Amino acid sequence: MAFGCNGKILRVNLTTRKISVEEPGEKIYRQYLGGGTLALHYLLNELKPGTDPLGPDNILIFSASVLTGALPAPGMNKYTVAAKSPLSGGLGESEAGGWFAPELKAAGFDAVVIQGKAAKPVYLWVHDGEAEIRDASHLWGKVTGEVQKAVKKELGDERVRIAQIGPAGEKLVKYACIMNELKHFNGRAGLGAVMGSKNLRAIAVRGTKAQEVSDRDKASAILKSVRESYVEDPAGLGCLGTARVAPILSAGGILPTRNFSTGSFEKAEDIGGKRLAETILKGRGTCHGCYIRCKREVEARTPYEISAEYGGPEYETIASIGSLLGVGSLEAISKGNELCAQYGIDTISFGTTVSFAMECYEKGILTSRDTKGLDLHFGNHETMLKLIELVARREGFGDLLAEGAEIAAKRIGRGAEKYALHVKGQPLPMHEPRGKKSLALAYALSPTGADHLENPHDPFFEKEGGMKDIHPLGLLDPLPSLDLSVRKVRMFVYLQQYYNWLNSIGMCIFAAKPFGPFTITHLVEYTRAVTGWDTSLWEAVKVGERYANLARVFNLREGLGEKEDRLPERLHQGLEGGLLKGEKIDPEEFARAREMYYGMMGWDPQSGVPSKYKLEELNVGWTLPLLKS
Amino acid sequence: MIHVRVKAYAELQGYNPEKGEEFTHEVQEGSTIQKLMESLRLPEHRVMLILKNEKKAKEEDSLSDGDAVFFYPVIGGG
Repeated sequence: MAFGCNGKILRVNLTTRKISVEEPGEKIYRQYLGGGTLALHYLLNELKPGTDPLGPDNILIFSASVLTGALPAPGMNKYTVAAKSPLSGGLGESEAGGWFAPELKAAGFDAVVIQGKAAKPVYLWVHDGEAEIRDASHLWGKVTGEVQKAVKKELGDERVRIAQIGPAGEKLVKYACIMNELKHFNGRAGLGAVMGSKNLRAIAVRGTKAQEVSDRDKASAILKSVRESYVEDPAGLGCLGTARVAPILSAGGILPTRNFSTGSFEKAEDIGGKRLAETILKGRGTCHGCYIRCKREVEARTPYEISAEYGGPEYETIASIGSLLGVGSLEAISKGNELCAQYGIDTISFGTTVSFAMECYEKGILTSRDTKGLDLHFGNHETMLKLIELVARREGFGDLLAEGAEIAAKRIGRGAEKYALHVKGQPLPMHEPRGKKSLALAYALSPTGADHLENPHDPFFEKEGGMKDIHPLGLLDPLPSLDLSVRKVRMFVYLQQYYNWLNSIGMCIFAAKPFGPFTITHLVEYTRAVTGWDTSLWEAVKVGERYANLARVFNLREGLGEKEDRLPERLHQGLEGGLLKGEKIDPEEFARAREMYYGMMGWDPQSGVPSKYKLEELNVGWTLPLLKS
Repeated sequence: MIHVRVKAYAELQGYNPEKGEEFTHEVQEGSTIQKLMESLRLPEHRVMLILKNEKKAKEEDSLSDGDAVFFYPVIGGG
């Protein structure tokens, strides 16, 4: 077995209460590395197509990687949660950082595969090679902060790390999320609902095993070199957090505002990182091993009581329940962030679903009778806050919104559907494809629906200087952000596989180029030093491609194909205001780009079905019979 | 020599930390924004947007006394 891995996958069947350990062998680890790629190996082999995502036969997987926990290293702490998504009916997966994954590795496992459904609420306790299913009836219905405290007390160890859902997951809110240590979220794809449907409230892990590293001196030298190259900006990601992004995007005309109608928000400065730092910032949070410390921790007393135990709003939240809703109060946004964390709701999907409802209300498609008296005009932050609890509890108007914008729009009818901004059921995140055109491909083609982390965004690569970080991929020529030519498609294909590889090794994008200090070359050398494998960037990118192709097969089997690789109509219409007023995604240019993407990936250029040649080349020819079925 | 008002948003302050976010800077008469960026050691590829007197500007644009030039950094995720 390679160094860096435990070589052990924990298998739990909640119906039969059977717990076992699988040892898949080194070649599986080498070809999948971890994350969603490893998860897909199980999902494709064991999950029947057509399975109800909220039924007992769905499979929920928590997957770390061969590099996680080897040495404390910035960004090397992520894990993927994967299952069939209740939002899309296709692949659901989402990454989170924090503390859970290194602890899982220390507990002797590389991943946990959960099947079945418990007869009543339970939590899983995993510790030093062992696992047990424990009663969670006393935890059910409680907010995440209370459960965190209760489980640590019950297990008698403050250092236990806990991944959990909140009450929203228990109520099968379609965009309920999973979090660890209250501040780190597997936000997207409705994975919290899957976990809730299994009556699984939490997974607690504690471990004392150190990973064996093949060449510890070499690995440490690489980390030292990475550390030395990192210079903290006095007003950058570490100091001001992702929160600093809102006013910058607004100036550029690409801050999603009022349901993506426009790109500039008059109150952008009021909700940015500088204002946050000057008012409610209590501290900077971080994840295992990371000195970038990008996370916010906020505290306030008035007008809302906000506790730092849930961290603070990151950019996506500042936009999704801020500018997207016309809300310009940082305090209301921060309170909303805390409530979403307490109840376990994805702030992105919640925001885009509420913005859908607000636009319907503004246009008279929804009335106060429909909303049960709630005023849903843009800007009403009190309504936004009320809706979080209503959605989490599936009460009143919240019950409809708990289904997500796509289904809510179908049920409302009356022309509501054009205001529901989603791809494959997953509501749009807070980046504007009309200003960063590779995102048109990212949103339409991500296997999990609209996803802003498929690739590093266009502005990094507009000038020669910015290309240096991605030279090892063979990308040499800068391109304008508004370009969607064949050259941009090629750039997107290469960068998407780069990010697919990062997800497979549980690496945070903020610690790797272009954001952070790890170069592509560092990462390959670090993999060699930890695992002992004579590996290369070639092999690494092939893992990325493997992910893309396995995910594609999964989705095709579930009936998701080229018809679902589309953008909401609004993105084909011009931005109504801001610096890029009038800019849109041209439908024909998009269609050409999409065809080019399929072809470059080795898929049929019209249908987007992977060719048998491609699947065999990636050594996943075993999926061919699955495509035919 | 002419004076321009400069605002360097977020991480762009890192190139002149002692100056802070907003400051006045002296350049030769007829300088372009490019010359201003060189004088401030602002790398071209780290600047996503330049506004001169609240209008979108390019590196080639020339500067006059009293101009306000805002530099916004490349950011892209989160």
